[in-house]
Amino acid sequence: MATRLLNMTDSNVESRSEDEEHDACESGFSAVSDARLVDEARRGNTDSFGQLVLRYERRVLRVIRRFMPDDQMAQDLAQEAFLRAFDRLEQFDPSRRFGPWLFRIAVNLTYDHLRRVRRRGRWALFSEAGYERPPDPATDDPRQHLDTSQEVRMVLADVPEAYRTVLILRDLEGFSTSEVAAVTERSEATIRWRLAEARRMFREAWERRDRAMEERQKRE
Amino acid sequence: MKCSDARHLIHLAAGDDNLPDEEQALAEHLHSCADCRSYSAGMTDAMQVLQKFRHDTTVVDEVSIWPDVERRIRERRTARPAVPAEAPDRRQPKRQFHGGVVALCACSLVLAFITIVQSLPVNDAMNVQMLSPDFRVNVGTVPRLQPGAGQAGSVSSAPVFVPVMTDSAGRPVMIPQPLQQSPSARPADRQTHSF
Repeated sequence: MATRLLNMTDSNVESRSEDEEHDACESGFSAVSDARLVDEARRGNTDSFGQLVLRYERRVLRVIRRFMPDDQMAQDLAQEAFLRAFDRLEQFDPSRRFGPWLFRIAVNLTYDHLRRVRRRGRWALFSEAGYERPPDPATDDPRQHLDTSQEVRMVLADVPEAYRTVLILRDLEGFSTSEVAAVTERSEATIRWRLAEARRMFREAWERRDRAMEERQKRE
Repeated sequence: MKCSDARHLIHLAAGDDNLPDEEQALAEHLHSCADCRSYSAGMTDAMQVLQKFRHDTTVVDEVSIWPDVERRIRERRTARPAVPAEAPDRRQPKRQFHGGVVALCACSLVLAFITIVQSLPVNDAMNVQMLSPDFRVNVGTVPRLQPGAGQAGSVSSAPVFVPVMTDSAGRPVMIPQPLQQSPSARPADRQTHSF
């Protein structure tokens, strides 16, 4: 039942990961549908909206983190996404599913942020370099341990935005094709075509990276 | 089935996104095409990388964001003045003046004005046009310094040609020249021309 509650749809049930089920058990959700919680939140019941936040926060955070590695910024964006959803509850169509609507807000916010950072970087004389940390002599050079996840993230960054979104939502977050279509407001046929193209692009980029690494090793 | 179509289906099959009939058609094609079989194996490898990444990223922070979201919602509510529900909202949206837009419009107008003024003919009554060098008129000679002579005062005369302009009927037109001062009024100029 808990898995069912965490689902984006009330009727279209898909098996979800165990950690989500665990979250649901911990938070002690009652069997209240998203639609009812949204309805109560629209009448001003903040606690109902709180239940929605608890229901979706981990997944929203995880989706945002797929697009950006910065944990703190991902947290800020997740908060902003829920705040925006709360502000726009009046615009939400109750006949539709709440999950895709919320994820659409989160993904759009994330892309807006990434574009803003890119634009600022193009024109600014200085950019944020982050906190400077002195190297720890006890540990090895971290640059040598650029693990697979970082490399995958870099390869994914080469995939165009529209295709990357589909790839991340479908292959990394396990959304169904219809859910991705609902989040991106595209038809399922478009999503299937983009998905095939996104996988092709990822494969080609990954193979390019493999070849480059092999050449580097040969030279060394 | 063409190999290009098969590869499209291979991309979809990597995530079990093919329909049953597509799956069947792809299986038949793969049975007969070694290239596509090899391509399919490569696609499976790439998808395995993605699958690893899928399970790799976990949300480390266990703290819920709801307390912060709730606090911000309350702050917004207290910051906003209470508006009675019955009263119609007659407030106009706040407008911001963009001086740049005005400056851009002004510059465009000035440029347009300059362009129009420059394209106007000198005299509306006559369509003045410049003729070819054959229609030049010799109006006299002026003294010219001989370069190889090396002696002061060795000058020769050179013809001076003035281009003639005609109107639309082909009649010559006088080109208005700026008034020249008399030699007596410009003693300095006179000195420079005395070789």
